[in-house]
This record gives sequence, structure tokens and C-alpha cells, in this order.
Amino acid sequence: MAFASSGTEPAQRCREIKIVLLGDSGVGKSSIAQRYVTDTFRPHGESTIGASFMSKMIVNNGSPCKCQIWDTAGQEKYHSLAPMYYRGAAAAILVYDMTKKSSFEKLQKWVDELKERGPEGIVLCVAANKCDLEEGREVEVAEGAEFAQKSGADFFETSAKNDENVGRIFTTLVTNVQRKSEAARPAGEARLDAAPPKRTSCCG
Amino acid sequence: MDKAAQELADTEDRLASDLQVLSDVFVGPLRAWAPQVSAELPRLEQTLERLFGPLDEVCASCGEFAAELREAGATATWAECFERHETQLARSYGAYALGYARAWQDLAAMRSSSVALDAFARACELQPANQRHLTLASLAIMPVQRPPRYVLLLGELGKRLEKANADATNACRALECAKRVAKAVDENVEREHARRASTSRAAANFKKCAETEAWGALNAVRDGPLLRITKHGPVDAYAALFDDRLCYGDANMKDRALQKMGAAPESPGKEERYVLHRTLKLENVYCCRSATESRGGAGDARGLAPWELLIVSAQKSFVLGAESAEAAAAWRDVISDAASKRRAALAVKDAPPRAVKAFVKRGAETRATDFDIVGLAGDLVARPSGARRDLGPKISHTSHTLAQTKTMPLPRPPGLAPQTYEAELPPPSSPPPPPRPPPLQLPDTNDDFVVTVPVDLQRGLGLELRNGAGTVEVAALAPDSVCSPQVRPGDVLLSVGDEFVQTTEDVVAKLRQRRADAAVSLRLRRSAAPSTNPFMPGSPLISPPVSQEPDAASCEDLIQNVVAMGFGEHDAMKAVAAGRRNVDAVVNWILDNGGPVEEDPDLAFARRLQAEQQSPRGSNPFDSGRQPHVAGNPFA
Repeated sequence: MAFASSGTEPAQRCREIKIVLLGDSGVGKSSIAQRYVTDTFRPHGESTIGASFMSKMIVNNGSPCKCQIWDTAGQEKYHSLAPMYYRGAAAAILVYDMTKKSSFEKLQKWVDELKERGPEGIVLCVAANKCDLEEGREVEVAEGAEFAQKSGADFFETSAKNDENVGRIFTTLVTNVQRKSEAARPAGEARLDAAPPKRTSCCG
Repeated sequence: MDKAAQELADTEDRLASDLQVLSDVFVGPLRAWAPQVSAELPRLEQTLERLFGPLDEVCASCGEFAAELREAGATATWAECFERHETQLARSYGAYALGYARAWQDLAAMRSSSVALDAFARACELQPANQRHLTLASLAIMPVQRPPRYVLLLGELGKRLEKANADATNACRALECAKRVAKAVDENVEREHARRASTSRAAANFKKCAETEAWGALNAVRDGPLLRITKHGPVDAYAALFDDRLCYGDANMKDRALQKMGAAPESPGKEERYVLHRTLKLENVYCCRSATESRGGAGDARGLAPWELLIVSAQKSFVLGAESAEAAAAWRDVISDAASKRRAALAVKDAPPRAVKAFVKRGAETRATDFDIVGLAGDLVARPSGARRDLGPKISHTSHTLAQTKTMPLPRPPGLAPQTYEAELPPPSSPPPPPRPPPLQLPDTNDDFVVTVPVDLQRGLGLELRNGAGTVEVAALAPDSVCSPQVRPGDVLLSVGDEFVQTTEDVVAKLRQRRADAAVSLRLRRSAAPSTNPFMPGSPLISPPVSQEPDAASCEDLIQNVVAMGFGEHDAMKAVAAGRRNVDAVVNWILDNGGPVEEDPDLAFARRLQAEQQSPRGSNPFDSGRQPHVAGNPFA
């Protein structure tokens, strides 16, 4: 799991979390990433040709965390190149367009592929994007939530355009990854990022 | 200038610029400072070479493509530019993606385990030349992402252009081209994954040794379990075909013992079940459907069983059995195809399999032995066609008794009659063997005579012995190693050195005891029969071998009796292995030869032989100690 230390201060180690965005073409993956990182939205943005990933530093539950948000370069459509895209990812956001049923139906394929070839213990989140276009809805909330529950993922309806729930997705993912990492830590192992125990001796 | 072409050229320039940063800011310093930043220098250097080896070609390809795009944009034919560069793009990006798939994980692992390496990489990120502060991961994956990005970019471009626009036509053509490039890159990586998986699987099945450790760099073509048909029956084996060699090994002794007892192997799926037995150079390998096919004919029904395949090579010839006729056919095809490719790659003459002449005989005369493959060696490739010779430079011998294959799990066509294969060996290859010393003129009588021959077990038994009725016959002698042309096939071997021999095992054991000797004297009796070449067509059938193996129970009793007399079990086993068949002979042998068995180099052989003798089928003593000898073989 990509949950690496990058800082130098032992008490407040900065962790890096790789998050990948998966989903059909045109569902708004790049818009979600762009909204989260730069807080901007381009309605007719060019297809993803930018850098391999974007970074954003956040502080979650008092711990600094650097999110590496890997936006797709189209390689996920190729059987052998896709694992290079999501290799080492700690979390994945499965995005579908709630105004396009076909994009929702393809999510199951991604869940299956991640289970088969993805990193072990990857944290999932389902994002029903473009929720600002309520009049064109083709996928009901219950459908999306049920799918997310079956896949062991959290579910959010998002709008990159209106900045609805975009931040919450990432915060939830980071929290879940941190929780999972804590749970996987062997018992008795000292937490480097934890505050030193307070001395209780009165003579101290 | 065409706007679409301009945009494409801009993105291409941006990529070229980023890759230059990757090369100058990361790869160059990492290579230069590798000894200082990593304790695992060879591994790091190898990883960097694998990962970034094709980077220069990608950079050059990018720059050239961008320049041509700009130039082509002025004439509004930029799609042609894409098509012209299709092969180059697929090759350079494909090579890079291959290296990335192989080595990026290694570099990441080394980085996470080495503080110095990680700190160095982070320091590189801070260099002023890295103006966008891109990370190594971000830059290194760019060439992998580029082909699919072409598809994304051109697809998006096509959507936004009006269909009547010339740019739309260009974008459509370029999109198809980009899809082909991305698919080619993807398939390249897919093939590499399959190759690595296949190689790892093949290596995992064999007990680790220096040779299997080096298989990682080979290209596996096919691997799988087979049966190797030996003199004493089928042996569970595993074959791994690479693009330059064919390797095979037998199941470990424990599983073989269980199989012989009719029990299932202890753990069929267990790793390292097989011991690498031999590696054959693929350019010397021919795979035949039947022995007659090796004469150049189409093969016939009298050949091998449909589920069997005959492997003929200069080093070793043998029969393998597959699960079914279809599986055997698949193996045959893939071996023949790979061998032909190998010969073509080495510009070696692809001599037809008829270089080995074989004759199939079957019928009542074959008695208990079902088939008996004799021969096949020498240089099968460079031999001039049409030449004939009585005996070839090396002879191997394998036979198989169907009556002993009760536990054989393979489907067998009903009513398959016993069969015998005999092969005439090919004439010598060029360059011709060194001239032999003039033969001694021996009286052509039935008197005994003695010849002194060199013993060279490392290069295989130059001496091929045929077990007759109570005697040991010299079936053939390899002139190049034995240098005794006066010995003719059919001559009866009476003693090795001063010791009389009765069985083939006797001879083998004695030769092995004399492995340090340069030569051994053989006492022979000239056969009364005319010394015709038994391998020639039309010659009378050679009497098939009759098993002379002692009864396993009697051997066990013999050993127990000797042990009860106070002798060591190992010595007793060794004496039995040396051919002693009664208590007195065993005791005498122990008194003469007994010693600290732990230090005896023959102990392993004696154990093995004894273990085989306890089973209904013994091992092939000719196979057990033979080592491939390539360098010293003038015919290889």
C-alpha cells in the first residue's frame, strides 16, 4: 500500500497516499481532481494530457498527509498498462456519470479488476458525478449506494462543477486509509507520529 | 499552420522537455552517484539500465516527431506524419514500457529500503533544472502514458472538429494510428508478463540450481509436465522449452519411489518437485512424430504411440509422453517451430530430421521389450546428406518395457503391440574426427582378446553394452572415444580389468570405480556371427534386452543377511550394486573394497541403484551418472 513516509520529523511524519481515479471516459474524473487540487472547473476542459499526477497536502485528524492524485491517461483501457496506473495505490475513486447509465454499469468491471490485479487492501469510494444535472438523472441514488455497499466502498454524489462533496470524498478516503494502516500495524509497534506519552511521575 | 498539428507538436515538445529533465536531473546523477547512494550497486545499475535504457531513443523519437509534425502542419497532412512514425513510436515506447514493467517496482523497493537513495532522489527533484518540480515517479511514467494519451487527445480533437474539416479527417486517421501504437505497446508488455510468468513457473518446478537461477533472462516458450520414457519405464518429468534450449528434469527420488510403488506423489503441486536432468541446445533438437519420420518420410502408424514424441539431438535422444495425442502434437509443433527459428537465427543449416535414420520393427520377434531406441548423435546439422556410415560417433541407448508400466497413467491405444526402434547413426560431421591410430590386426577367430580403452564417463559412455542371455555383449563402441576399431558390435565382453562381468550393472559399477583411471582393459570374445552392422536395414533383429535385474526381495534379503553378519549396510548395498548376488561374493567384495562409506564418492550411486533395484523397475544406469559434455565434444 502506498503509505510512505516522506517527512523528516519523527513526531509529525508526512505520509503520501496514492489515489487513483477510475471510470468511463467523460464522467468527470479530471474535473474532480482539478476541483480538489486547484479548486477550479473548466466546463469544456481538454482531455487529460497534463502531468501524471497532482499533489495536495492536507492535514487529516492532526496528521499531515500528501495526496498523490493520479488522473487517468487513458492507459486503464489497456490490459497490461492499467496495472502500472493503479499499482501502489492506497485508494481508488470509482467515478460514474449519474446522467449516463452505461458509465455506472462499467464500474463493476473496475471493481473486479482491482480485486484481481490491484493492490491488496485498496480503499474504494464511489462517486456519482454531475449531480448538478438532476433533470438528466439516469442512475438513482439507491442504485449507486447499493453498488457501493456491495463493493465495500463509501458512496457520494458529487458535482465538480458546484464543488459538492468533492472534498469529502478525499477526506473520507484518507481517513479510511489511515485507519486501515493503523489496524494493520503490529501490536506493540511504536507510533512514530504519535505524541510521546505524558509522564505521570510527580518527580519528573 | 494547422492548429491541430500545432497543438500536437506542442504537447510533443513538452514531453520531450520533461524527458530531458528526467534524463539530466534524475537518471544522469543517479548513474553517476550510484556507488555513493546505494549499497547494492550492481542491482541499482542493472535496474537503472533496464528502466532507462531506452530513454535516449524515446527522447530522440519525441524531438524528431515534434519537428516533423510542425513541418507537416504547414501542408495539412499531419496524419501522414503519424503514420510514418507509427513503427518508430511503437518500438521506442514499447521498449520503454517493457523496461518500466520490469524495473520500476525494483527501483521503488530499493528506494524504500535505502534512505540514502531516497534522499538523493528527493534532492534531484529540487534541482533548478526541474522547473515544474516533477517527481521521479511522475516523469518516469510519462513515456508509458504517452501512447494512450495520443488516443485520448486525438479522440477529443476529433469530437470537437467539424466533420467536413480537413483536420477532422487528419485527426481520424491519426487516431487509428495512435490506437495501433497503444495496442502494440500494450501487447509488448503483455507478452513480457506472460514470458515472466512462464519462466517463473518453469523455474519454480525445478530444484534450485545455478542454471535455473539464470532462467530469468530467458524467453520461455512452453513448459509442462510430461513423462520421460526410460529403459525401466516412464518417469514423471517436466520439460521447459525456451527459445534457445530445451530443459527437462525428472521428479525427485521420493516421488519417483512413490510412483513406482503405485502411490500418488506426495505433493503434486509442490514446488521444486523436479531435478534438472539435462539441457539441450535447441539448434540441435529435432522432434519427430515417429522414428520413421526421422528418415524424411511422413511417418507411419508403426511409429510412436500418438501421445509420444521423439526428441532427437546431438546430446541426447529420448522419448517423451504427453497426456494425450493432442498435447503431444502441440509439444511437437512448438518444439519444431522453436528449433527451426533458433537454427534460422544462428544461420545454421536446417537439416531435415532424416539425418537420423531409424527403422521400426515390431512383431513377435521383439519379445518382452517393447521398444528399443538406439543411437542418434553426432552433428545432426552439418552432416552432408546421402553419406552413410556404419556407426556414428556417439551412441545412446534407451529401451522401455511396456510390461513394466502398470502404473503408467497415460491413455494408451488399445492393442498397441510392442515395438522396436533401431536407428542407424549419421555419418560424422565436419570437421572430421581426428585420425585414429592404425588398428591392431587381431586374428579373426573366436579366441579371447584384450583391448585397452579410455574411460570417459563425463562425455557419456563411449561403450554401449547390450544385455544378452547371461552375458554382456558389446553392442557398439564409439570409435572416437574408445579408439578400438577392432572391437565389433556383437563381441562378448568377458571382463573389465581383472574382474569378470556378468551383467550390465557389473560393467557400469566397475567403470565407475575406475573413474580416476585413464584407461581400462576389456577382455572380449569375438562373436562367431558375422560382424554385420545390426543397424543397417535388412539386418537381423538385435535380440532385445532381457532384464537381468535381480529380484528386489532377494536383494533385500541378501543385504539383511550380510548386515546380520556384522557388516555395514552401506557396504552391503554397495556390494549388491556392484553385482554380487550371494552372501560369499558380497562378503568378499566388502573385504576387498569396504571402507568408510561416508567418504566414498560412489555411495550416492550405490544408494540410488539399490533403491531402484528394490523397485520392480530399476533406473537406467546409463542415465544416472551422465553429464552433458559439450565443450569437449568435437561433434557438438
